Amino acid sequence: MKLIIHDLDQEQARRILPAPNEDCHIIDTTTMPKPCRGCFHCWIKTPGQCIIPDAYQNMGALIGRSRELILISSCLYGCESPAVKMVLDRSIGYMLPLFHITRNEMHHLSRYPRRLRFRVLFYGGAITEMEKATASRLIKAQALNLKARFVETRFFTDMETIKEAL
Amino acid sequence: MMKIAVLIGSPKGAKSTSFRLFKELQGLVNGEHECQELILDNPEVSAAGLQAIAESDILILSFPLYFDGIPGHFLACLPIIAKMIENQKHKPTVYALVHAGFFEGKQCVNAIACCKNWVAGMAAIWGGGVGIGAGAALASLKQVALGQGKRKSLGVAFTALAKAISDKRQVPDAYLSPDFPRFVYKLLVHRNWYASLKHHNLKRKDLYRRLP
Repeated sequence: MKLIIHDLDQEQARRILPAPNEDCHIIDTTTMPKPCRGCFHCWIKTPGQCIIPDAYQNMGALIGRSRELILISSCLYGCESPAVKMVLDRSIGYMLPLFHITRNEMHHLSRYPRRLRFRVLFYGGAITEMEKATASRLIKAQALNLKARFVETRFFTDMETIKEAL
Repeated sequence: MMKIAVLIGSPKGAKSTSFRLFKELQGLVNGEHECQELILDNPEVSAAGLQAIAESDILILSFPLYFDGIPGHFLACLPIIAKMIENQKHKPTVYALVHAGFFEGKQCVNAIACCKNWVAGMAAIWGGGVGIGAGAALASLKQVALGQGKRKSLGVAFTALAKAISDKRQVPDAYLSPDFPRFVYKLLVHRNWYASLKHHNLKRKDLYRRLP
């Protein structure tokens, strides 16, 4: 399954995104997600599931079922948009709280066996070179924690070209 | 008198590691200063909070590393603040404390880079950042004096940062790990998680639960 998390408005989403089907699940952020509370209950009380009862409660399992995770987001200071980042923050149930050492750094073990493809498509006309450099490094670090087998970060000024990249 | 506004970006507010680490740093800052602590635990900034930020000479961000970056709710507050600072002549000097659950403070580098981009975008002044590995563990070791034993590196980094804040000048970014072995930290954290599971009447195998 391909999982797309985006912050596009309804009109942009209608123009750019494929229709959802059994092979493509789309998470939109038109209703702002509730932020992670930092309670870690998704690790030690309801393992794998966030305790906040809303549409983003099962992000860990959704990512676990996906072969490809695609983020379509504006770029804010070299990071994903707050809405997309809040969804990611709510997705740590995808990982285990336990650590292992890889590339001489501490990272989380994965709850799910599949190694996904992680692609991030940033859009916006005013992204600075510094922000692009930060974003590229940030996405590589996130990919390492997601145990992704492939990572790609791209920047778009023309929304229509995102459609071709999907 | 110098005015300092502190933005605590943890959803746990005044009970958070972010708050406790800032309090330790504050103890090292010399000179007279008026300090206002603002808890930003949701994606909004109050009018009173914005007023305090507008009047500040120094802004200190203290937040946990979330998914390798700035927590989403805290990130949402930054453009609101930037919009105000962009339009004022008086620009604060900005410092950042970022702490991670990972052992290596270096893993905070991208979150600090985002803070720097935010500062550059509103033409404020970057003062310096500290990335702290195993932040919660270091904050909880209150019986160990800063700069001693397991908190030696934390003390060195905080002393340099506090001096820079006192003088309102720039300091190079610093990344630190605790002064005890990584494998010990890993063992202690794992033991802590297993104990938490037990507290919720779960077994070790439940930790690995996969949802359909």
